Amino acid sequence: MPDEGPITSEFANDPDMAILIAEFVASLPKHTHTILERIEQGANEQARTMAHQLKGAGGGYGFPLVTDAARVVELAIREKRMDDARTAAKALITLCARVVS
Amino acid sequence: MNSHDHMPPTTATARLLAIDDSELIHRLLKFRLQHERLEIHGAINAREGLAMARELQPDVILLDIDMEDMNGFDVLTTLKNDPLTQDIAVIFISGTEEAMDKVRALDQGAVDFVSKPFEVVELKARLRTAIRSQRLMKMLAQKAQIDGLTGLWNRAYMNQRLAAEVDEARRHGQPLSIILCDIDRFKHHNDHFGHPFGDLVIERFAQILSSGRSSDVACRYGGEEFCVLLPSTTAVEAEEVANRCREQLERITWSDHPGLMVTASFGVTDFGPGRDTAELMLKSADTALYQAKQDGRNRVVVSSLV
Repeated sequence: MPDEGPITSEFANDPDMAILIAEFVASLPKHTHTILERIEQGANEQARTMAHQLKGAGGGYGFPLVTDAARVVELAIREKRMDDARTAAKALITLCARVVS
Repeated sequence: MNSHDHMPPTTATARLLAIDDSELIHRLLKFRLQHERLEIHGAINAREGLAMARELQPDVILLDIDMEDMNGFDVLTTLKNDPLTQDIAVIFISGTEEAMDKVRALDQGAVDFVSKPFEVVELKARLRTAIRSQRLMKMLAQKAQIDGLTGLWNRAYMNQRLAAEVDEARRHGQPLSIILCDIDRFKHHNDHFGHPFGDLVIERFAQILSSGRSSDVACRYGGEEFCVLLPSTTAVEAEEVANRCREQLERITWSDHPGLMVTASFGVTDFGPGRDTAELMLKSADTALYQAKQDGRNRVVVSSLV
């Protein structure tokens, strides 16, 4: 998969999943930007929880790359590497902008 | 006895409660499990989940670890410390990658651990296994409280249930009665007509006692002695129940022994002053039963009238 191209769900061929995936994709911009906002505000535990939730859900909706990127954010916050967390959150936003339903 | 109490585990719809603070996960679970034989409920935080667990009595709980108001381990501890929820199967479903978290979850009493993101087929298989095991455990626990000859509840169950019913009667001011009964001259019948006939008498009497109202709980107290718990029932109403049972028994025609009339004596008591514990109620009913025997058998005596 090209690094800059659209990212589709592993379940894109499952018509039953279409609505669910569309809802998930639609929720990503707000969810990921809020993670970054919480980090900027120093609300690290809230940011970590949101990253953790995305890590748990991403693969379930057929987006393992989202899970991987959210894992990096969560780990950085857990280890109190906040500069890394900020960078990882921005990378997560960039990645999720490529996610399509 | 309520006949539903004896139903074996079936393939009936199981009740699942998912406790997870991620709406994304709830949506996914509901969708992915929609074709399973599951009634799915969701709680969006730990406290709501604990309340729902008590109220819904689910067969299985899918429990997240990382929640804001309380972590999954504390939720599990609370569930296990509550008699109402301690037997519910709990499967952790978590994004944690720490092996020690998994060990801790299982050590604390979880039956399984599923990692997020989860594979749907794996989750379904683990749920089926947990529900099957849970039902078998329930069946075994129930079997241990059932009398082998009659299929009635045994004395251990009766003691436990009576104590619970007494608590309910005290808390809500509801009437509660018990009937203690004993087959008259049972030893004579047994010795004279043989043990198989004695067993038959016990079985038929048990059928009579258990064929009444579904809310009544019939138990074999021991040997030829039985006890019936009658929640929300006054002593006068219990006396009527006892008399119906007495008449049914004496009317039975025993094909191998024409002309034989088998009878039983009954002692009835209710919850009230001086009879406000399980022990005192049993003692009171026993006194009434003794009086019934003394008065010539085949009769019902109510203890408050003794």
